[in-house]
Amino acid sequence: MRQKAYIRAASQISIQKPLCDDWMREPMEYSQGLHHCLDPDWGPYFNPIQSRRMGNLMKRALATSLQVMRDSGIGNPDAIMTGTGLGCVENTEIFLEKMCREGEEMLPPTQFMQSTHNTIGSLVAINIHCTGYNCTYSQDEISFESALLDAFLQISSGEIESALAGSHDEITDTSYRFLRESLWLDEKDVASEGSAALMLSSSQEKALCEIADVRIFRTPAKGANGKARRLDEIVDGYGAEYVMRSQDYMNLFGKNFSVSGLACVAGVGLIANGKYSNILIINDLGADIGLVHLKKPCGN
Amino acid sequence: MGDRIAITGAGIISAIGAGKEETLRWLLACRSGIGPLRHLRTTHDLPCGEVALSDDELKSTLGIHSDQQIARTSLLGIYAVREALRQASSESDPEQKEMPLSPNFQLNAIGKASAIPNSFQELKKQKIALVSGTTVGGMDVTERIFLNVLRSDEFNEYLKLHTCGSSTRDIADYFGIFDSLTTTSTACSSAANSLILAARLIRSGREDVVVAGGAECLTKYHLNGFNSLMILDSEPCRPFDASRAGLNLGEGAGFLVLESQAHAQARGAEPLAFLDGYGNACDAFHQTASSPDGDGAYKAMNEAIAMAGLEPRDIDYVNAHGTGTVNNDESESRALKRTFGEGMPPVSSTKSFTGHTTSASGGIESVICLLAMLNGFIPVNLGWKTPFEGGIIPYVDTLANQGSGCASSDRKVQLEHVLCNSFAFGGNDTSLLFSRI
Repeated sequence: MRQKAYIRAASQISIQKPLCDDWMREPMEYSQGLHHCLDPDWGPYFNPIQSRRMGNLMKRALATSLQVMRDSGIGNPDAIMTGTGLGCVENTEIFLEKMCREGEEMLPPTQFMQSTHNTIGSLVAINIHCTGYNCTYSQDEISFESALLDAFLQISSGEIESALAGSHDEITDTSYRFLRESLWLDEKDVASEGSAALMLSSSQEKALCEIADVRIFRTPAKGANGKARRLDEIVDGYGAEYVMRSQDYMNLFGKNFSVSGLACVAGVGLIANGKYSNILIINDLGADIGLVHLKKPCGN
Repeated sequence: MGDRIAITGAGIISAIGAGKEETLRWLLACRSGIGPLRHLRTTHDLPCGEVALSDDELKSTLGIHSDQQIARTSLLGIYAVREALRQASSESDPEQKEMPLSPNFQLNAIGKASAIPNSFQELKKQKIALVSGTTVGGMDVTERIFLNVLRSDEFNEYLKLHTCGSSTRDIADYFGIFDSLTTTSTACSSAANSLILAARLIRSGREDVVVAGGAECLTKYHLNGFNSLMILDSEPCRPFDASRAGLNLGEGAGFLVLESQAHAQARGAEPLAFLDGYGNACDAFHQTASSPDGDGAYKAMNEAIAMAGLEPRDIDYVNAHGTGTVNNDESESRALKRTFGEGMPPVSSTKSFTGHTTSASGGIESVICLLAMLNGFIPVNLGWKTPFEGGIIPYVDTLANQGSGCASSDRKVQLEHVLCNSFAFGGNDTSLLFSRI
């Protein structure tokens, strides 16, 4: 029998107020251009020496992860699934620029060592000594849903009882330029960055919401017998009380490859606060669609 | 765990050949693909396992317009996925229907005629997903244009983003049959982890067929990154040898077509082998080094063996991660000894054939394991001569070592269960267990 998956804690650092729930009452408003996260005081999460060794992306990933561990009471999850669209952009760019400008000799290893996409998931694992399953997904807009799907499948099948799932992306001046020139970002877009972390559990105890479904699919989607199905048909099929689409949640969090993770944190909050009992988050930023269906946990 | 996961197709491209047949010939002949670079432009004189075909040759083979800007990782991936899909669909659909081409891809006349077999039409009716592992995706393109973009004052709209995800999307767009896709990016265990996700997608009933593996091309970025870590050998690599001094980078792609045994049976596809077990564990020790006792590797191998309902003594061959670095081979030897004790099965690293193909290695080495099982031979550990303290003694061909050529082909062995190891930065350790029929 399929095991249910619950979210026990959710945390985010973004262009909205970080690591707390009260941003929802009076969300910040932004104009077009590049916007960095409103970073919290790192003091409660790591000491100044650790802080100096980590870039912003790492700090945000670790802080949101530690926060959901504290809030959920799950100190050592069975697995860590991470999504990131562009990974450690800053380190990648530093190494790349040095190599392109100064040639191929005498390149220092530090930035390269911390430039692979799974640096984030590994850093969290090393910090919390989690030797369980660890996987990182990087599928542009649907990186978050890919990571969440993996966690959802493993909890559903009973292979694991808890998982730390999240998505993390940063933006730099150079990556902003590449994203603009490739037309992924428009002049009018609020370009942003963000970190989202969720603690999933197979136990309903302290659950904020249930994950009813997670899907990733290409459009046009294929229905029975290979017939094409429109996205609207699929959305309607869920009969959700509230449907959040990319355009809706980008008004809050701006546009970045991890924004659907931030939307999920918001969705969890809306259910936990009792505002809705059934939310569908549709990530329709690109040709590959992400779908997360959240529900109020049923009474026993 | 219910239905077994059947492998019904396999595709490979690496320094030892394009396709399974050529790869098998090189393996049996103990012929390494490691040598001087011909395509990648770098100031370093380091031996690498470079795929013989140039970008233009790959494009021409695949029927892609020569002026289309596409990452080499994507080209290598398309090549291997095409071979895997052709094998999985060869006998299942005798009908020859015209397959609609993906609008995102410009195929020339050759492509229209041969790149996409009509028999994929049958697979198109299934729920079919693509999961690919890659680390730097289209970095080869990015590193060529990077400075020009930074220096230019003009806004150019021709720029295409070459993310990890974009290479998987390129592969999917080429075939136009995939309902969903994603990319695993866990450095050198990426392809192995994509095969694990594939098995889970099938078991959960979400997908009927999943094509999974990995692709990675050589880039200046990777070569210089590994060079900065001082783990590249300036000589051909010697995994598990006392004199080993690092790895040689390689490139390529390896993909498998996976489906449940019942699904394969229902459509009349013959399984080549089964993915009966897998394990992934994190060392949680260091960003780039493996733990001295190989904790993550030990855990991953044992999980894979337990999942298949087997004992360590049932394993007939281990394709080791065996990069040739001092650290990996020491740590992996320790993990292998802890797992197998006195009953060590034949172990070899095939990285002295292909170079370390990083993200693709789990896919490439899975296909090599299948070739070994189906053809009854153990790939030799080229370049090994002297054991180191605490190191395993890998499988070597004595005749080959004496310079009289390789004799693997005429010594048939029965391989029922094999393990394939892929370990990565961040202590990400994955082990896959393949079983014959």
